[in-house]
Amino acid sequence: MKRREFIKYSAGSIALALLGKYVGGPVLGKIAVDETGKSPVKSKTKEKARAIDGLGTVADPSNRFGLAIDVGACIGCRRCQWACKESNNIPDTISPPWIEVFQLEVGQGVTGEPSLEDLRDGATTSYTKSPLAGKWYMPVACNHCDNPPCVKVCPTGATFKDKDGIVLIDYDKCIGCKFCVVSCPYTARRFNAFIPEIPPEKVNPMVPLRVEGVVEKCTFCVQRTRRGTLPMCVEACPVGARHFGNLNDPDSEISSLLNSNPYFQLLGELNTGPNMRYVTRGKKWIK
Amino acid sequence: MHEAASPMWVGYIPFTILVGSLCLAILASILVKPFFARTTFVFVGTIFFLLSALIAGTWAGGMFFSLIIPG
Amino acid sequence: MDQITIKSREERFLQPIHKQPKSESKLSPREVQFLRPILRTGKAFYVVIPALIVLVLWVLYAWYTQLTQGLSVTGLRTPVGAIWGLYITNFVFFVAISAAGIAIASGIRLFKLKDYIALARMAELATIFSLMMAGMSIVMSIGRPDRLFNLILNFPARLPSSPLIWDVMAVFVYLVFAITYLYIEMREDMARLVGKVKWGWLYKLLLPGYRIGERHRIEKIVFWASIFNFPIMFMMHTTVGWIFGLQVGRPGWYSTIFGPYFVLGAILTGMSVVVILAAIYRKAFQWEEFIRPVVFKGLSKFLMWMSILYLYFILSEFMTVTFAGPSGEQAVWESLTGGEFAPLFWLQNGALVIAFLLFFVNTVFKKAFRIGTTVIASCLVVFALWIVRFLIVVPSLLRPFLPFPTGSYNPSWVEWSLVGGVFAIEILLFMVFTKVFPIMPVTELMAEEEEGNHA
Repeated sequence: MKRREFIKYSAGSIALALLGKYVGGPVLGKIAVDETGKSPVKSKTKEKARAIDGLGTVADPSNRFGLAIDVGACIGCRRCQWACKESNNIPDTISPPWIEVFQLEVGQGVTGEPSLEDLRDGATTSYTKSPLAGKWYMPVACNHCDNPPCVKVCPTGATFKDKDGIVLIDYDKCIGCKFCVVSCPYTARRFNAFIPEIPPEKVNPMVPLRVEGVVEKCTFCVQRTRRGTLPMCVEACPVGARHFGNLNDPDSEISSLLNSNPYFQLLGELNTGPNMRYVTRGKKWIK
Repeated sequence: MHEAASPMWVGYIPFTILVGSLCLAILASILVKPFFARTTFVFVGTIFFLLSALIAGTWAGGMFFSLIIPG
Repeated sequence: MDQITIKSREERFLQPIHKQPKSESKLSPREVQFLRPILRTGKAFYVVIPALIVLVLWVLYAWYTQLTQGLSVTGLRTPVGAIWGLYITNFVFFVAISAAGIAIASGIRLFKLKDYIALARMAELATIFSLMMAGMSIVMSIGRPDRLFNLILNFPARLPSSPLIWDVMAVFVYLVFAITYLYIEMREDMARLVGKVKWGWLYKLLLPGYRIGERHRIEKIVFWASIFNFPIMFMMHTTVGWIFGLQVGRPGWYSTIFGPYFVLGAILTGMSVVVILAAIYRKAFQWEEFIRPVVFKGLSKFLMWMSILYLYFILSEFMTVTFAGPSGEQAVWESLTGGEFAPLFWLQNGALVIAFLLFFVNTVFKKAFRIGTTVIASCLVVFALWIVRFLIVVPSLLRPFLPFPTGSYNPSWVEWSLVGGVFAIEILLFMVFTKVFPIMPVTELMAEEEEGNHA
């Protein structure tokens, strides 16, 4: 009796498995057909291009990219925010876009770094005119940390810190759990709750298009910086407040800027190792 | 800023405790009777069957959702 | 192979399967009592089941809406607003209920708690169904459920660093373990009833390799499994706590207390759910003599200690932050104690205090003991602990470190539907299981009676 039972059960399970694979699969493919007549079950894996930041570029491990923003020079015009949005296929439904600019009181952060109390009282993102007397402006985006909490917590490894220091996202791996969004102390990451729609004439072919349900953020314009040009936010700044470069290179502009000026970083005590530095060289009230 | 990421081995602690306890339970069931005892097979076999069913179910669930989600 | 020479007292009640006559093997009167849910169907069943099915269909519609339009149909937003909300609250809540099976079923077998045997299987079911519902809540909350398998594919690489992967692993291990545990201890009951009830054919299908007398060895395996249940349970709930407790990025989350806090919350929630289940089954199937008041007395005493401990944990957090907290934490706790979450926070604390007082009165004043009081207090606990989890997830998300405008979290109809639907599906699963399988551990209870008669 035991042998018969065993043969019965194993034959049954093998038959079921084979049925599922060879009959169920093709049947499912035939039933689920979209309007072009193609089966989405098959077409998804075969036809779409890979959606990953930095596709087609190579990371140079001798680089260590960083961004320095001169908060004395910044006039809060938000041109960096808009240039970033236009050139990185950010839909209108990601709001605010990757960069957000805060307006703070001059009394706050006299020594440079605003404390958390400074940030909480009187800081705002909803100013309409700038620059105003008695205010200073601080743009914030992803810090591309050396010890990024978002990279640590990602369950699929969709977000990763590449060899040249940029924290990037593989949009095909992302399952949209939003753990990275909640773990970022700088609230730098954005989630596509809406289906992103960008008019075809505004699409930048160098930047992957994201689908709904995945997370995105500032990429230091990896499609530009790995090809030798500057990020869009740096180029768009009308007062030259943003400086980008290789921190490993002692002769780069950003290294000499940071070596000769005091700077602060946000939330450094959280040990995230941020790579965005705020220089107070042109601070207007220190004359 | 110095590199101050947490050491890798820390993350294996939950894994060790969870999977270790499961393996110890299986081991204890084997010690109760020799490995080829039918009851041990039932216990261990059920565990492996359920584990593979869960993994297969995750795959099947993903396939099912991909028919509904656009993009 | 193994020769069965043990003639246990159970064997006097068992018939070998292959000799089972298909027709009328009589059930003893005791067995008829235990199998009441399977043998007859009350009117309530025909009302509740269709209602639940309608609810489930509604939930499927809501879920379809969310899948086709994206999570924009929920109230979840970032960076202004909360990006985790009701789904994650539900997930933590249902994982917490899953402590039930372990505490009761393992405790029964390890510490030979004879009075609680009747609760063993319903507690195990609470674990299994709640874990499934927790998994479902997570699938409801992620943006791309079609990529679920990425969790498995990338599992080894992410194991050292992602608390969410630890959680996925814990749910998998715990679910597999719990189902196996239930299955092996249920085999004897199924074997016993093969020719005698109308679902006997299903039992036979689920009994590959059954042998008479395997009960003896199964009992030993179950004993050892009960021991290893405890580290698995502790790690399960601690890893859920660590999803929040290990994040420096959100004020109010980064705390050493979160591991133990969640374990305690799980034990509290799980036991309360067992009390509620026991009371419902007792009433519904007239099982007053098997689920005796002593069970509720014991659980009342245990829950009294657990609830005061939990209040102590909440007090500890409150003291630490209010006395000298960094401004980020202060902002979160201000929203809890005096801000937009104050009504919920004080409601939660009030419910917990009242629950503790009810348990206290029940335990200390012997004459005042009522089963109803225990059940009401347990309902208060379950209600309060759902709010606790909501208040762990959402307020910290609405007070990020950087001064984005303070948003609000307004859950949409989709979220409420899916949350309620998860409850509905769990109840439905319970009702279907009770109809098909014996919810009372028949063999163990009969063995207890025999022991009692011969003592």
